[in-house]
Amino acid sequence: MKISTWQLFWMFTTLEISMSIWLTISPTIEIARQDAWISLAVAGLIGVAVTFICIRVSQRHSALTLVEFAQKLFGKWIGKLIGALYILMWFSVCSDILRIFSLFVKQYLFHETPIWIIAALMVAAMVYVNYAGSVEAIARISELMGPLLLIGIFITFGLNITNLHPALLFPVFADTGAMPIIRGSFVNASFLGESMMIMMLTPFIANSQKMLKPVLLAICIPSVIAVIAAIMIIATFGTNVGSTLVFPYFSMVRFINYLDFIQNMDVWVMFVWIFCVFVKLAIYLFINSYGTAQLLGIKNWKVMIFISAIVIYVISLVPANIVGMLDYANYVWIIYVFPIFIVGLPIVLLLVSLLRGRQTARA
Amino acid sequence: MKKRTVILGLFVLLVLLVLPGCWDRHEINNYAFWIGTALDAGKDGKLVKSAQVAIPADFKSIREGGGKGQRANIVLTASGQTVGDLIQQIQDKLPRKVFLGHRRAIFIGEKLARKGIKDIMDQFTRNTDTRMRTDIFVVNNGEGKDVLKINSPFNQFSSIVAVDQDRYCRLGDTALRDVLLDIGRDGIRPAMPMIDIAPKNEQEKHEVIEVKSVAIFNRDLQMVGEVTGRESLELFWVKGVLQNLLIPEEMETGNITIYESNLKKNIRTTIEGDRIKAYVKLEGSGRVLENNTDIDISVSKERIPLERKLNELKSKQVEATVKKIQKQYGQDVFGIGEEIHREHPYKWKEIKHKWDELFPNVEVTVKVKIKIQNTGAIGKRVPGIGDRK
Repeated sequence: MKISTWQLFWMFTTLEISMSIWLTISPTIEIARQDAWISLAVAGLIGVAVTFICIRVSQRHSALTLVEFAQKLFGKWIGKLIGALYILMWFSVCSDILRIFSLFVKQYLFHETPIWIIAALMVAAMVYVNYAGSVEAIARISELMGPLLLIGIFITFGLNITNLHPALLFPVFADTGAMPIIRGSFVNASFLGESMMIMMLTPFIANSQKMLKPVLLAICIPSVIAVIAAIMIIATFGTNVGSTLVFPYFSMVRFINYLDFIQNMDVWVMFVWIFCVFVKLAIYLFINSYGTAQLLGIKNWKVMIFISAIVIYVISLVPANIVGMLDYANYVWIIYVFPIFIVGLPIVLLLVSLLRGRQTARA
Repeated sequence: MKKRTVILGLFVLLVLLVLPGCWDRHEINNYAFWIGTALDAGKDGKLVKSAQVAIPADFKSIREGGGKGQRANIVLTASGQTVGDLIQQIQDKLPRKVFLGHRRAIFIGEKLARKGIKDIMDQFTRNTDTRMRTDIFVVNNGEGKDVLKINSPFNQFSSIVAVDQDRYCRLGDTALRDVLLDIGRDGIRPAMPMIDIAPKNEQEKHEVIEVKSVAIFNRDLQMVGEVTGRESLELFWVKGVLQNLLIPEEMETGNITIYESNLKKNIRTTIEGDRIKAYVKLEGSGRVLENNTDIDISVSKERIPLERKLNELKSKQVEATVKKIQKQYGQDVFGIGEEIHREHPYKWKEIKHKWDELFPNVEVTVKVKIKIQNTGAIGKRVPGIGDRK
């Protein structure tokens, strides 16, 4: 069974939302102050543009994964190098997300539980879902969890309305100017750029010629949610507190007190949200094991699940407590991964693919 | 295939064995619920922290009526350099694990507030166990720990009483957030509700707490002054956080009291050279509660001039309050600077650094517009109680 377009939509929605409401808002507020929401809207446009390129590339080679079509376009060795770089990058981001996730759970839910236990539980679930059902099972989970997360987010937005001070959103633009707004947009744009994983998933999609709309919609909805969340956070906590909070959305949910009756909703939101992070990590594990298997020419890719999982697990534990939580995002992802892997290489791949396509058509 | 299933099954079992509950397993009766915190300045620069901690066993006896006069909480005190150090010291005195998630209020002694609260604010936002929905008070002429020791007839926890009392007369449990919003901004200075300990008198067996003043802070988070009663309500009205108020007005022939709700504020500012002007417009709807004047408010011809007269009186009052704060304390607790920031963002950049010097000379004009929508249960006064012949 292959992934339907509807499942694809939910898969990308869950994995984009889980990141953008979690990590990107406070760095954006720090750069763009009360205009962070404009930044996030710009980020959405950038996200749509880079996703569009990635989808066009993969649609031209819909039966192949990135590892395969890079070899077809650039020849065996350069192609393998590009594939290997992408896989390495995906290994690193998967480990980083796993680590931040474990630190987050430790900080908010289990103060005394060692990080390696939290990470091990997550990895066990990731391995299981990949082993038992591979990417189709992940798609079905996201179909289940995505709507729940959306409902949860909108309920919390609604309940938070009474806490808002809209005056905190003004003045618009005058304090920051165009440059900080654009600079701030790179944070979420780069996170939205994770949609480049579509290049590894096309062979598993039932109707890959029709996947443009659902995936682009799955970039738009998380962007809109990020914009609303930023407006809410700025109007609840102001830019000073809002930019310093590490997980501002969850702090905002904690702040909700509706009629003295609905309080401490953060546990509910976190519960659903953990499933969404699980979806994301499981897809990364799938891409990493499948891609490595193709790269090394291993027939049974499921063997690689265990090896990749162990690698991801070990890397995720190494830098704990030494490197700051968002250092990977600030010093690696936004500076190197975003321009090279999300914007640069897909454009090159598309151009080469178009050129080659013309050549073959002529011949 | 079968072998793999077995391995997987064993793995799952192993995971079950080390489920996180083992580390973070805390039964509810192992927790000591921390309801209120008090911070005071102690001797030789030390910080004194007191905690109001619930004694769950006594809930039951109090409900059954057997434990009259018994307290449902204890107040623990420790002194040290930092707030974190004090949490450990409080823990040392408790047989249960300290649980901060239910803390409702923070009381700061006036001495400490005047010294400055910059060094104690960090942990209120950083500690993930605490909630930001907390009320914060300065204790007028007193120590925070004295408030914790009060045994209120309404609730076993004076902290919760203070929060509720604040909710009905001023801000409520968003006070800490509201203070944090104002800290670090150029055009506004924080203001915090104050709590008074009213002395015992013959009628009241217990000491009572009163929330009737507001403490004014400067840029460095040092308390510089306070306003009480009517002035404190007007301060919050101009700031835009007050929900309702009730102030009697003296007319020529008697008093009239109007309950004012749906309060709104609107500030316009102009900058002409060195002169900064602010036009404050305060709106709301009123319901007459008491009328001891000769005016028949059921008649529009009499009510409208009364409305005008009242608004004039109130405008003058609020203006005087603003002037007093400008001249006496010089701190912009109203956020007039932030209004300029919003209205003239580019000019604001030039003047924001010297706002503390500019604020006392801002020309503030106040215009109150209360509409009497409701004359209460009666229109004109009942014959025999001051009716007109």
